[in-house]
Amino acid sequence: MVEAFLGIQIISVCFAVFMLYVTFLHSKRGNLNKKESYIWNLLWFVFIYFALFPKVLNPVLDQLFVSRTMDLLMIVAFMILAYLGFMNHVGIKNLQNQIRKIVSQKAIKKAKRG
Amino acid sequence: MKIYLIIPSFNEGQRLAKTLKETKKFIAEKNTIVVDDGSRTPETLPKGSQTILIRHELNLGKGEAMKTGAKYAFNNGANAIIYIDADLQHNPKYLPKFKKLLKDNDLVFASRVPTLGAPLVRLLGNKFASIYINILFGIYISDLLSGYRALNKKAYQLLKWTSPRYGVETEMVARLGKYKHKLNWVEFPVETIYVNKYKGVTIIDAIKILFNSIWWKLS
Repeated sequence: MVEAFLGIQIISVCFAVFMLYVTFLHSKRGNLNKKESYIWNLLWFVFIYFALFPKVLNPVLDQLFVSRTMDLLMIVAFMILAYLGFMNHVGIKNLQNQIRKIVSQKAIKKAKRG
Repeated sequence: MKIYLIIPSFNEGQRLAKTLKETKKFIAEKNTIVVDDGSRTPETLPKGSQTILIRHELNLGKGEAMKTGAKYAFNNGANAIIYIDADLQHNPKYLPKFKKLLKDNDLVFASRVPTLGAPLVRLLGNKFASIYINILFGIYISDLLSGYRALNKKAYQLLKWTSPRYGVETEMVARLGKYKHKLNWVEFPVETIYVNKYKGVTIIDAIKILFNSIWWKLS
């Protein structure tokens, strides 16, 4: 049980370090602005902290009636994913509508005979 | 009455040329609009043709192509528009009948008469869709998915559809169900040719349309 938990901790930290690297790359490329970059870095550092010291969450676990730290992290992760998925959906819909409008307007403007 | 013929087209190539050759017998080229919906090889018109060509740089779907054509036509003084598919699935000989019926109606539907050559899945699917829409919206069109139809400016303004792709035909009828007290409509039978069984509405499209129709009912 202890070994398995340690294994998960190592995987979690490796994943978070990889995500920090990805965040760094995209912030250097200008895909993320300063604010977004800070938020994502903070998120991954907090994730690493909880992965290494899961016991600090014990008081919260008791309050929320969640039995294990991993369960809490999974719940939070799903909530974040659901939020991001929804925001992606809205963003793509918005882009699609704008593209449709632009393509249609441009096509009408360029209409020609023969 | 100024009537424009709108032909949404996507990768039709030679079939479009054949369609145009037939349609010009009934509607003047200058009142014919081809909307090329981002074909891989851009659609071309015969040399010297007076037909209007509108090209979407990206493939937006049949519903959007129909909308672009309608916008152009009504902005250029059309009183009514007729839609016909670009693959010669619809016989252009019925165009004069459309013109005649548009004098007394806001919408005209040409419903394909089932033939022995028609794919069974299409026939059953189409019949189910007609009954389903009838239950939801109280309007029965025997060939719900036929793209051979006409509408005037008043009907276009009331029925403005939002479906970008193949749901457009069903949405139009669903919206007509909501405005049936304001619009006159008629349907008449036409013969049809099934050119390609892999074209048109797929099962996935049909499922999406089924779900969307509930939204059209509620909205």
